[in-house]
Amino acid sequence: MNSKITFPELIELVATATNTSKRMSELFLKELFATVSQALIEGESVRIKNLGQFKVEAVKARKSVSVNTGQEVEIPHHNRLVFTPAKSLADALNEPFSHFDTVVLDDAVTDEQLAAITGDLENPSTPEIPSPPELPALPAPPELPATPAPPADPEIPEVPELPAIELPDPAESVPDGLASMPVTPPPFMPQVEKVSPQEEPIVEEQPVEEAAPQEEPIVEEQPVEEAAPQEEQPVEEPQAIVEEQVEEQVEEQVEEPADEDVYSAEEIERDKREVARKSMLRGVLLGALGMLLLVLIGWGIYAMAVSQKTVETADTVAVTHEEDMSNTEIVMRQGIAEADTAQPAVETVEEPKPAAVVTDTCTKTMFLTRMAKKHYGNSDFWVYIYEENEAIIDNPNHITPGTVVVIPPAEKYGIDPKDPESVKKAQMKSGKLFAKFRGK
Amino acid sequence: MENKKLVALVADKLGRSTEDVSKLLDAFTDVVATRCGELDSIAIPSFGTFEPKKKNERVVVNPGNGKRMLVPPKVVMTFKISNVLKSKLKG
Repeated sequence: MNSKITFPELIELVATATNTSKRMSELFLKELFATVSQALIEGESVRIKNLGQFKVEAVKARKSVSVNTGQEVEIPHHNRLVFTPAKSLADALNEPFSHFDTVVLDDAVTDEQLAAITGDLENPSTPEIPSPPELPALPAPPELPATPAPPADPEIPEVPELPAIELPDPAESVPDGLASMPVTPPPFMPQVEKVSPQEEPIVEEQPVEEAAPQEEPIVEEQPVEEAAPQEEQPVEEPQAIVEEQVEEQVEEQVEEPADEDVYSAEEIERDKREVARKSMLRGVLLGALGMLLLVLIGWGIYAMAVSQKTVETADTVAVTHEEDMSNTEIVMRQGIAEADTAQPAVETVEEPKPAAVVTDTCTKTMFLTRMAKKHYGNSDFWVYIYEENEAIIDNPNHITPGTVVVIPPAEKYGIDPKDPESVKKAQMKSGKLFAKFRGK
Repeated sequence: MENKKLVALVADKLGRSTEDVSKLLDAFTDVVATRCGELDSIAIPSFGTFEPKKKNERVVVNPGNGKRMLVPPKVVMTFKISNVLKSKLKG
């Protein structure tokens, strides 16, 4: 690799390849290149089979600038040698890459991804090194002999038990891993996935388990079906499970640090689930409210129309002076209609109010400033959110995650992100607040 | 000068049959192909050096339609002429 073959070495190589003496091979090579050189000096091009073509090209005189002195120099007319490798030689050299082809890239492929790929190509050993020690710690092989069924076929139905046993036993680590893994979208995981399925069967064959390599994939697939409905996670795929198994192995190997990670992951997972549930509930509530509003508005319009009609009829009746009964009836109707219109009117007035009271929940990453940015378009207006919720929030710099704050309507404090005056006012206020809470 | 003529010339000079010489020439090109496939360079005094060069894969953009393409890696054979031959050619 990358070494330079000298002439004596070449002579020896050719001699051994043709079963001739070194002397013969040396004579031949010297004569060969002498002949080629002579032909080239005479201006002839030489083509050697399976090697390529040597060609002498004339280069015209041209003007140039001397690098050192900066003066104009004329490069005189001269000849140069051009070597074009033969097709067969080029193909032989490119044999390792012959199965590659030029690929048109999608727009989705970013430069970062390409850089990551090339980085992995340069040091491919890094993802492979940690995995072999992991695999001996696989939970599956030690448990398999415990299942009392030597033939492979009856064992397969029992395999579903394995994950079931595994799941409750290491109650902290395994389900957490299951739960947390799919939620955290791992950008680098695909590589781990690719590595692990390849290696798992290989290493499992080494412990001389006949059924193990066949069963592994089944073990991996079945928990997916079981776990998916239980947890209702939208992004549960067999790949994720593979990752989790790898993850488990890592955890078992390095227990103490892994446990901490798992706890935090568990918390995050719990938080996320709660948030998801809340958002679901909120969505459902909002939908229901919207429906109610629509129905009420529809009813209101209908009632209005009816009342107008009744008023018209009432007028006509009043003009003609007919029986009292009809009058009272109309009055009755009118009253009903009025009551009808009154009800929706009141409600439609009331409805927007609860809808207008916008609330938001503080989290570790959702501060007042970000809320202000979200709702008002400028993070400087966080002071108004704080003022609105002064009763709940003690210190704007230390808000416990989960605190639900009311986002005041923009008109209440004259919030206008496009108005520099308004922004300046908010900044002034925030400066005062900062000064107030600096020591705390 | 084509391969056949070259073999005949060399055979004439060495006093050997063309079969022998073409066999030797084939052996030489085989050595070049295999060793250069391993990215070894072959130096021949007062003639030049056969040097394979590995080109990494790269992304090119078609200026016509702006499509990006990933060109696979490849090995390119280069020949660097020796100074002796170069000066002889010049004159």
